[in-house]
Amino acid sequence: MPDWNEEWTHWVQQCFPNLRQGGFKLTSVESAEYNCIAWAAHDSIRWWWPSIDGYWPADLPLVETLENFVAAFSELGYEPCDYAETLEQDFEKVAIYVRDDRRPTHIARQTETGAWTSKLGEGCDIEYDTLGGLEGVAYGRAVQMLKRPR
Amino acid sequence: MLMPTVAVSPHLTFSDAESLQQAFAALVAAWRQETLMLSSSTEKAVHPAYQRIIGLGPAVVPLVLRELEQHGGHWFWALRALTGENPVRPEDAGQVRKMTESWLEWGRQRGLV
Repeated sequence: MPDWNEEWTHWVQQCFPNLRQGGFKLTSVESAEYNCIAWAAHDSIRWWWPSIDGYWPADLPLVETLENFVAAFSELGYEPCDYAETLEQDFEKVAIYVRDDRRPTHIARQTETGAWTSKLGEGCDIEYDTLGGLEGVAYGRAVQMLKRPR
Repeated sequence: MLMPTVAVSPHLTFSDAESLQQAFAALVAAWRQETLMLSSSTEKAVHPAYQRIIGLGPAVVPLVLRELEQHGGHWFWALRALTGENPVRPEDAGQVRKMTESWLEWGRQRGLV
């Protein structure tokens, strides 16, 4: 019987084929209590989403647009910046993924080492090297970067 | 001898509760497998398997509550759609543990859990 690590590694690789080459490491157990948006916002007790079932800043509309997600993170001190995966020691970066219809699907956060960390839906957290690792059918592609002073 | 039927929608009936449970379990498995990686509450809820669970009608509410109790997950949209009620306080939105407990308490009060 496969162990936990083996099962989730297989699941991640199935969902995100680019990670088969780029590599990643599992950094948490699975949880349905918080999602990628929450994780990017350093919140691991709420499921963030602009819907009746999700947490969303009270002054923002419940609409799934890139602008609304940027606005939510603006309330946390982030500002849009040039798209660059390079580490800037004095700033924390997050990247918003969208599909072709421009609806947001995912947010990743850069760690202090320059790696990226993501919560995969109701699955586990992972750490990986480049944003392209999560690009594909499930999340689309990373298009908007934001940063704030650490 | 005719078997009693469990009516679950104007279009679907199951010959017995076991058939309903089997249909529900298959839909849950498909839904979990195909939406586990998603953060979007909307995408989870509009998934075909989730919509088919809602289409099973009120007879499936005890099964949804049991699934919520035993395995967790985002069943809140389905429960609202199936029951027309929402026991979750607005300030608890997004706090899955509290939302779950609100629905389970709602179910206990009605003898469904």
